[in-house]
Amino acid sequence: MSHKRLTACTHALSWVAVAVLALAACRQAPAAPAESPAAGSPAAETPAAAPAQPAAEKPIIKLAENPWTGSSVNVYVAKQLLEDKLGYTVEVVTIDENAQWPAVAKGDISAILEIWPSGETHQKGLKQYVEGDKTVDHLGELGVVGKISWYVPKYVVDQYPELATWEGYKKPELARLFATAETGEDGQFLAGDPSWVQYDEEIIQNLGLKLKVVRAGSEQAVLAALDSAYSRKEPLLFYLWTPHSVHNKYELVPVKLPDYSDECYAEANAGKKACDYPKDVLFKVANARLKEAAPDAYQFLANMKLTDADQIAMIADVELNGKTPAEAAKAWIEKHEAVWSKWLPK
Amino acid sequence: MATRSFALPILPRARSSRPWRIASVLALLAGAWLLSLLVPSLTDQFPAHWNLGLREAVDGFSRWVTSNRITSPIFVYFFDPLSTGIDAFVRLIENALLGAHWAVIIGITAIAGWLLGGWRLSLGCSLGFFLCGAMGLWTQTMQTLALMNVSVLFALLIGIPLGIACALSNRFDRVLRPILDAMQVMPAFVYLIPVVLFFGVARVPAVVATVIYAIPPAVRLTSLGIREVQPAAVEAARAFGSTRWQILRKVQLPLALPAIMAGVNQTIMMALGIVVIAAMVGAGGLGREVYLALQRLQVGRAFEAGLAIVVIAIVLDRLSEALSRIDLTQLPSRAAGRAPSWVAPLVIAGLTALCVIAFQDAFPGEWQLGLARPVDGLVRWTRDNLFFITRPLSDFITLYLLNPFRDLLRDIAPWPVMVVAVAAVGYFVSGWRLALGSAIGMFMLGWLGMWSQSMDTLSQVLVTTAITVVLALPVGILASQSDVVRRVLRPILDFLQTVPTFVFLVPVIMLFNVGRVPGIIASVLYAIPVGIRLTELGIRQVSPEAVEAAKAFGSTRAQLIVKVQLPLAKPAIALSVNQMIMMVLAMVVIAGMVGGAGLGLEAVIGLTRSETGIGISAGLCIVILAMILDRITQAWAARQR
Repeated sequence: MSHKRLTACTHALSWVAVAVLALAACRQAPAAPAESPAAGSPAAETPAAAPAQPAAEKPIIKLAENPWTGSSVNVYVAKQLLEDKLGYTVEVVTIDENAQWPAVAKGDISAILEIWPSGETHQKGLKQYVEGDKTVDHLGELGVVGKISWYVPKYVVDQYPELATWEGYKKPELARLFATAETGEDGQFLAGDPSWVQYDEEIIQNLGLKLKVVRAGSEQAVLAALDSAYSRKEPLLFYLWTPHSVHNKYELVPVKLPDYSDECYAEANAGKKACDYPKDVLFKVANARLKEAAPDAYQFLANMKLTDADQIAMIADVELNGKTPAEAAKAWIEKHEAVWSKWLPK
Repeated sequence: MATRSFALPILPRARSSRPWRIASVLALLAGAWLLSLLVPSLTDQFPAHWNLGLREAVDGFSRWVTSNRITSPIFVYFFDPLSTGIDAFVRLIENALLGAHWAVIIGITAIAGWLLGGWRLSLGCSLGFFLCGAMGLWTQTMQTLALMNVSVLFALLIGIPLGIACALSNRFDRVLRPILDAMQVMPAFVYLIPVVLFFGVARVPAVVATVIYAIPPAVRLTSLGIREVQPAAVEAARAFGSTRWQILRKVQLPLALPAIMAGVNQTIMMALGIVVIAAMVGAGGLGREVYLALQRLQVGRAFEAGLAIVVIAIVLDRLSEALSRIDLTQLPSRAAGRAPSWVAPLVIAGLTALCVIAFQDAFPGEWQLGLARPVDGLVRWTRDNLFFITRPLSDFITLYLLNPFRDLLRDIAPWPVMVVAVAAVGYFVSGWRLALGSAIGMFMLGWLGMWSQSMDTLSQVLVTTAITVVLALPVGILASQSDVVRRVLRPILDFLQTVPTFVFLVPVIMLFNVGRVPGIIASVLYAIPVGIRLTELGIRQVSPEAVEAAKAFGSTRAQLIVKVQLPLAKPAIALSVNQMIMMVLAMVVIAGMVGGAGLGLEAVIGLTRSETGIGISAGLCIVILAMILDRITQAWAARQR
């Protein structure tokens, strides 16, 4: 009885499967959606777009997208131009910024378009792969300049103007505004993503501030804490940087620290830093073999340069107008032909 | 995970000598404390020069790998072809799933559900996939499904033979068991960077990391299933002159099939637990949605993607459960009453065909559900309205539970005292072997250079477990008494167990402030389903005769619970405590991402700064803590019998 039933079921299943697959086949294989990293179908379209070029000579370009909006919009600007103007197929690989270095060195990722020099991994990456075994090429500056600062919400400075500069945090009664159960008497300084260069403990100690560092462990944790504090207009002092999409949502003020100087960061001064963070000049890198495999794409990526204003406008388009990074990039490309036409190799 | 059983040597205890032994342990503790007073330089902190140097060795190795990965033959002829093969395989499945019309996928699921379990299962599974499409996540769902299928397939291909080997050879079993423990407890964060070094980015490292994480249940349950086959059946087969291979193939494997299928089910669940972490190395799919959404604090969007992961988990869970219930060796009495029918599959196929003709290949965008907005609203509401309770609660836990306990373990008690104390616990619950093992484990924490972080983490784990037990026991008891409560709880517990914990992190921080408490809350949410389920199961399995007898003597309901059911369910409840500790330990890294410090933060640093040495050391310490706590609670649970 049961064996019969099972056999019948198997028969039914196979019939249905055949019918269904036949139907599906009749409708032609559809193109994979644009967001999917599947390579099969776009690769099939490329030869049609550029019939002069045999497909084998155009390698797939893989761009690293890191999980922040600035990185996404850069990648989509490059992707759309490489595809439309140079006839490449571009895959976007969403990846953690620290996992990307061995991948770009090996060629699993062709290029990274926005690297922040303050990240410790990136300093190591430069040393090991760009200067060391030369498997990665430095592609020059992206043009966007970042800056790490200590931030407080604007309402804090409005109420206590002294807290706009570092001296304010020497006063126990003001620093105590930031105290939590974890920090006791001292104020809390919320340090974020552990991958970042952070001298906050040094700075606090050397300037004699009444603060204690709480390491949040991730950027999301800092952003969530900020959102929560901001909604109640509570004081919060934290480590962040610009450009960052968060500045579109909240009014934040950087705390003035003693000015940055090269002496302050000199190696002889290890452990005695007592000044502001330096500027971060963002840069691009590519796998060294891309130069031969795809010279025009390599040249294009090396030429690519955005200003702070370009990137901030696209970030705002995503964060405030609800566009996808790809749509924001498209809108920017439509308006700025004069800028990107200079990136195309002659 | 739920069916781990560890055979521990439990020595016969002579009751009469107990006071003497207590006295000797107290003397040892006092001696350790005295020693630390006399030689403060050695005992204030774990001596740094005793460090094993593992960190440097690991870092040296990873430097070798990075500078040789293009030229060394082991990469050129082994890892690279392997990566290429896995990548091609995943892409093949992914393109097949994405290439097929959405209605076809739903139709096939519906037919599978009908064949395995009937119309309820069929409807549930197809509605589940439909929901994923309606949340605008069809493509991502299929990508994750492809990744899961390949990973689970590999995990089973490796795990089941290993399980058979474990069942047949005791020596092999003894060697493999600690390795399996380590694979299960070692945070995936720790081996993510090494996996990227060997296998590149995107789909392949995701598959490899998932396979590492998902193999242990496949091995354990296969081995358990074969070992539990009635010896009589094996003897009978041997008497008829079967060879060893015949016994295995014709007797042991078929009889172990239900357990093996349970292993398949657990493997799928484990594999889904790693989806978000895999997204950090470019795996794409639903994990990427969660990862990107959280970075932008879009809790609603992250919730939708998390819900889609839950849906996949529940669909695969119910389907594989149904498959394991169809007993292939005996006549399924369940199906006997029902005539074989072509009607339902044909109706489903017809509907599918209609959908294929009527709709686009892409899932219709106008059917969007838009769950994100209400979820975001809810999160804002809790942030604005619950804070007046959650902040004081958070402060209370920090000031009156966490701080004193951490200070005791980390700062007040010198390390030799801690080592002796933990060994003493091991001695009392089991015997000298466990005491020795625990002491060596505690030493290892110091040797790996992570003593103070380990004590910080240990204090958090114990406080978290205590909170979880206090919450889980009453709910479990309630669920055992009332079928209504049980039915209401089931989907909630399923959800809590399978939704990626990352999804709660943002709201939990908003409510509880950065620090150790949000990690604790997230861990409690993760560990509580197991506690509730095992408590409930334990009470429900109390023999009905005992309950009837108590009723006959006129016990009230409260008496029945307190005097009969709870005492008889004690072994099961003790086991649930063990499982809760393990779940809490699995969350240590997540806690590190929200301000929990301790070993979790070190593991995060290992990943985010590519400091593989630090990451591996921290991961090993988590594994060691897990093993000590596991063995001690297992032995304690065994004593409750």
